[in-house]
Amino acid sequence: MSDVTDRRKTAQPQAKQGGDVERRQDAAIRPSGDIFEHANGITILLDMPGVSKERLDINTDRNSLVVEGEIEIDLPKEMESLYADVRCTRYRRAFSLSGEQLDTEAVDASLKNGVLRINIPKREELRPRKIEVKAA
Amino acid sequence: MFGNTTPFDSLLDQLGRLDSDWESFLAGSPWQTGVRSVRLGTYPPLNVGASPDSIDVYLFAAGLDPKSLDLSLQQNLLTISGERTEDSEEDGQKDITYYRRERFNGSFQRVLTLPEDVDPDKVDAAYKDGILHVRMGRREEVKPKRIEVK
Repeated sequence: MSDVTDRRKTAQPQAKQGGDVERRQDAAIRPSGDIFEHANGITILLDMPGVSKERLDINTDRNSLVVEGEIEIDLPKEMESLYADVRCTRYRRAFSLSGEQLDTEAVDASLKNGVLRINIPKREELRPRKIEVKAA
Repeated sequence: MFGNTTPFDSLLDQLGRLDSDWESFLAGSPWQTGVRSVRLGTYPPLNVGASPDSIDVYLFAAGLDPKSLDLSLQQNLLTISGERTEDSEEDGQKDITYYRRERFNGSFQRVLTLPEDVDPDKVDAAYKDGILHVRMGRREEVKPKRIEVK
């Protein structure tokens, strides 16, 4: 195997025990993301392959948005690792929203093929409005 | 006034830069790397595991159309290629301002040298939650055999 550089263990899924995801502060992958703004708000796309809806946690308050997820893989018994780029089974990324005029109450999120899409709308009063000019 | 990054974010970016500096430093060293090895952070990351019955490759490739994937196994050389196309366009949003574009976009290929006993007739691939799992059987003759002592 020319690809072997390290023989550390492959990602092993850890059993999730009711809501301990936030508390555990061990190693986590920072998922890569695209962030863009449009007329109605800000959209964040995060690559979190291996995370299912059940193992995803998104927490928001006025000032922050925290995304955490756990990778779940079916591993055959007696598996030994030959090569591993991914050495953690957790993703975590936090965003600061303080001072932003966003409506964190109305955040919506969807997960498809391991890509998490989070949409944070702008507060209603701040959305661009078309002003009609009336003839005098 | 410096945008949306927190001090912690920019610190992590600097660490990332440090990492690539370190890699270019190693370029001058006599250490050897595999001829088909790629630099850390190449999309998509993958893990390979071996069990007595199979060799399993896990490709961490979120957001792919499984139809765009192309797999081939020649002897013990596995080639996986595919393409990921832009997601944001489907929104039909106009006037988009990007703050970050870290996600990979475009076509990719990864080539892996596997142990020599993989059986090209026993390959099975599935795509779930953004992970492509390729399972290849191993040829019978190399499986450990139990020897009974009479």
